[in-house]
Amino acid sequence: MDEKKTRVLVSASEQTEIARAVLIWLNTYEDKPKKVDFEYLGKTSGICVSVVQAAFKTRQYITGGYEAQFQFQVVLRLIADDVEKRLKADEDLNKLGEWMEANVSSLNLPNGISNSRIRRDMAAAIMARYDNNAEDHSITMTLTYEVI
Amino acid sequence: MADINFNTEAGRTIARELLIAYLNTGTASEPVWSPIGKRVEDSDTEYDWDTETKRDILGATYGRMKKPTITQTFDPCELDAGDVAQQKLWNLAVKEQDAQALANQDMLIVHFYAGSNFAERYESCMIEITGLGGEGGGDIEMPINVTYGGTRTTGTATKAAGGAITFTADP
Repeated sequence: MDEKKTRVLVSASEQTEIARAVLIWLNTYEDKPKKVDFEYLGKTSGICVSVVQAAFKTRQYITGGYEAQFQFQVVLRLIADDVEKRLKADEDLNKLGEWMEANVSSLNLPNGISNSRIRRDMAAAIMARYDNNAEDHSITMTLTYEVI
Repeated sequence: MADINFNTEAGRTIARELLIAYLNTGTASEPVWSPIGKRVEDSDTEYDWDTETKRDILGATYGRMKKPTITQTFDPCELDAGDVAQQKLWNLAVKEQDAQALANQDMLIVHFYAGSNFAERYESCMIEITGLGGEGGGDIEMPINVTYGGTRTTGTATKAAGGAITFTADP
């Protein structure tokens, strides 16, 4: 029988600090459509960071340190009443994802956290559509970091 | 010599990070103890007692064993400029290929869970770098095999706030 390891979460305070750092960092992106919020979108427009799942440890080192992953989405809400606006929404999010990958060194993580890497888990795509023609498009990212 | 008690709370298991191996990256008289095994997830000291058993003509079994040869593997050991021990070993093995130096390294095993941090110093350890490389897109790895050897000195270790280790030999 396969031995299943329990997924060990990082502390709540660490996750909060990571999320805060990511939010501040995303707001330094010059081509953002508007100020990036945290888990909040307006009725017809907005962009926000949303936590996908609790940050958890992926490797535990014998010296006491660990590697952890923080998975989040950037969600863009807009009124998309034609194909071009939908394509543009995904294009903007994909560009933001590439910017994150290329600029992770400027992500200012709390003390004791280092060696961060970030990757796009998938290309941007539509996530939800509403009666008022608003649509949510999102890109999912995984931030890997170490506490040593 | 009196037995040493574990200094952790009874009924709880003991965390792995309370058993750390250090390499002397300073000198014999002024050692600087640098931890080995950063980013290693699983590593054991293995004790080979060179055991032998025999059964006499009356049917009784007797065993014989020698003092152990202790070995330990640290794998994969991703290279990191902040890992002082790793850089010393890389220079000795990869740059200098200095087999004699690698066969005479000064190491310290600290048992932070036992007594007042029971420690064992082995002054002539053989350290073997068994590879250097890794998969594409990954990190450079440098697995390390250690055979603890030479004079064994027991004592205690203290850890300063910044992580510096001081070893004090038993009188």
